[in-house]
Amino acid sequence: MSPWLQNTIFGVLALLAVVSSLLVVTRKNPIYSALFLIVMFSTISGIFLLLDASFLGFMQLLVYAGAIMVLYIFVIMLINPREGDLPPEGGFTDKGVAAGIALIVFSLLAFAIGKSEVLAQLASSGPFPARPLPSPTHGEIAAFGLELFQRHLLVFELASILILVGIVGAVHLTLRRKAGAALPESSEDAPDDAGETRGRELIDV
Amino acid sequence: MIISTLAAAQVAVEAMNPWLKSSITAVLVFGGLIHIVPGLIYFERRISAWIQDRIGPNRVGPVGVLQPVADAIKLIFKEDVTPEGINRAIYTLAPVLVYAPAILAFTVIPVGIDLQVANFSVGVIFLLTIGGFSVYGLAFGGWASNNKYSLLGGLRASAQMVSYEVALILSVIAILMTAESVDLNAIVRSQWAPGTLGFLGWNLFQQPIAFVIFFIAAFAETNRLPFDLPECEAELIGGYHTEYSSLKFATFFLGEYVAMVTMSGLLVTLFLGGWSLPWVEIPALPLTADIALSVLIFLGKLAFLLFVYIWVRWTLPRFRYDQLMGIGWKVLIPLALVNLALTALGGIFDWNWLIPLPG
Repeated sequence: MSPWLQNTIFGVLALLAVVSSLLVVTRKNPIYSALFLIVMFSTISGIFLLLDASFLGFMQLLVYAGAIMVLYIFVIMLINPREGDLPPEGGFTDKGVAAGIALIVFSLLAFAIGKSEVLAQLASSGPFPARPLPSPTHGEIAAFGLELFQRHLLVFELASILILVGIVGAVHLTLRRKAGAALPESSEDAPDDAGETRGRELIDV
Repeated sequence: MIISTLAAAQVAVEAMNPWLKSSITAVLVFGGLIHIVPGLIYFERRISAWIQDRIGPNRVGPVGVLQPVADAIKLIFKEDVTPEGINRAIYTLAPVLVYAPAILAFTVIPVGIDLQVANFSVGVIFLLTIGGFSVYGLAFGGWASNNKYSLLGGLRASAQMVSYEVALILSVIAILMTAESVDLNAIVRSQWAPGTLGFLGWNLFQQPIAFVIFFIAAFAETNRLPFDLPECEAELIGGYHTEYSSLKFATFFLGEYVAMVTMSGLLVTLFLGGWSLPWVEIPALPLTADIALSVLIFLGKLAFLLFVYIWVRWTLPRFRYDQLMGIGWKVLIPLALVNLALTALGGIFDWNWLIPLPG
């Protein structure tokens, strides 16, 4: 693929990602937000594919655009909120506060990217630098697995323990409900990465 | 005569431009896939009639073979009734969201020796990912229809598919471990063993637990009886497609049948040796005739599996919804995890724990 074509595709995908994430936060109807979030995840996965990271790209689709978004849509459809049901803005849902947090995160990221050496390298090699090619198979599943189980073994295992804790916690919550005990006060307490398991308790429709 | 024709075809194929070649493959595979569906509907109706001791459609054309054509024409000319109070954009999008992923997922299935529309290095993962996207069509269709029954159908579809996709993918991972590859052609080659008992090399015998899990989960993923809870007529009228008529309904229907063919194709590839037969050596440099033979082998296995699909549908009663969830979460997923551990142990100790390979 020529650099020009690659840059064009990247531009289109990046634009789509930005536009759809803006639509996610501006739509009043949560189903539309979810739909545009799916589009956003898909464009991100397209960018991974463009970088020859096919495994990562499809995992992004499978886990985020596939499994997690299905659960979000399941919950939205189950609750089926109308416009009046949404809580009034204030606190963390206030637009000014949200914009401030976004600005802080953005400037942190921009600062980090500006400090990095990669950018300096890219800047010295012209506006459309040829992308450095690690190896044609660097994004394939074998290379990915070796990297994960050799260099990042500790982090990988720690993450799996975290997920296991999330699963056990979710199972525990459903067991308590079955025994006739009080309902958990708020499902908001569950850790974020238990989203996959949190859906379980809702599945018995 | 036949040999010289085949030789000429061979020369013609080899001289072809790769772009032209892949375009022709795409047209042939997609065209074939679309035309399997009416045939499938005809056979489903005939076989169900046979199972229930009826006659079945036999009026249009000889022994009724033109019945699907008549059905299609009827669907095209029907009034496209659009109910009030729907969300029009999503309502229109939903049938496409069911149909497009099903047909896209088929692109990576090898229908013959190294013959597929798209050759990804991560073929299986692509198929499972894209195939799973069909659920959005069902969920959005049910939601946008502004109908309680449709909404319930959509809800059931999303819960069911998320649950069974876990079991499905876990069983596929066991196969990937056995084959030590994610390339579907490599998986087919890894199942080939020489001799009369060569079919013992098929993952059906090497990975029987994974096969059972995949087989059950495939029914749930394609919403076929005994797992067609999202559209079960007795409780939900038609589920997510209650409010759809004419060609939109036809697109839902088509998507469902294409998904069934895709799932069967994946099952053939992963568990039944794909396009290979144990008695036929896989040529290193396949001629056109070899490829044609391998396509016939694949289609034969596919036809058998589709027959099993129909057979099961008209034999078993529908599950209750809590039973469906119970089987998925409490039986299939733990079983798949145990199978994964057994496969890993077998791989470490190089130990064939169930059926040793002949030769």
